[in-house]
Amino acid sequence: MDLFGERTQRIAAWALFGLALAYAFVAALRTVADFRCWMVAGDRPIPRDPS
Amino acid sequence: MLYLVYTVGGFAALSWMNAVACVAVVAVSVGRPRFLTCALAILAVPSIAFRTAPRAELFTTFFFAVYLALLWKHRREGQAPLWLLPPIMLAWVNAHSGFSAGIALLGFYAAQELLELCFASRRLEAARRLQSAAPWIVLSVLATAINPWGFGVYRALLAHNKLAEFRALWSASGRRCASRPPPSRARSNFAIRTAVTGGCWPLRVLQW
Repeated sequence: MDLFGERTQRIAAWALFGLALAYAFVAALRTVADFRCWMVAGDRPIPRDPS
Repeated sequence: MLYLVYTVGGFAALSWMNAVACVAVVAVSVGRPRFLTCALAILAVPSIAFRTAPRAELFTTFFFAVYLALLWKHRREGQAPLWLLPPIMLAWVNAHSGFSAGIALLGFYAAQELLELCFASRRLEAARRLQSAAPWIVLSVLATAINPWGFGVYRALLAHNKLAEFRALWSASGRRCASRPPPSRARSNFAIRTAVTGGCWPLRVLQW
């Protein structure tokens, strides 16, 4: 198998693209999970800032 | 629109919408997958995720990425579905005040093509590209008038800027009172916005 062949590079690029999209999906959900506005909207007490 | 999504599916639907928007921005920014482009996209994900939170700014982040992708494709290949620009601007102007970034992008594109006219070797191609893009650019600018305030929306933009200045001033005075030096919110917002939008350029450029 040619590690630097065009086909290998294309597969690697598509794999990394899939990884980027999956990371974006998880990161977006994580951002929402951190959002204090959900606490406010849900009429829940906002946790104190650790600092 | 966000309220409609909330009405249909509550917070869960808003969260899914946020995730889909983030993925869409990354996909549009990357375009055709290249190894280095994808690696850079991964680095940009945290900033993009922050800017696609379920608030109106989400539309600006997404539409800006689409505008940039379309104009860049047109510049590189001389043909892109530029007819999408006016309908996107119509939605954009009614969604968030960040549509001004789209107008700035159109102006930047036109200026770039006009500069190319100065070079004899590129003049013909640039003129052809500009000629085919001009109607869609003009229509996009005109589309900004199709909103409840018409062209008055630009007055609202100026007022918005003044409000931002006031907030920065307020934040600075608050800092002075609290006598501690965290970065102002306005400044950190600007830094994040610059990182996200500026980060798109190398992503597109690396597709050469």
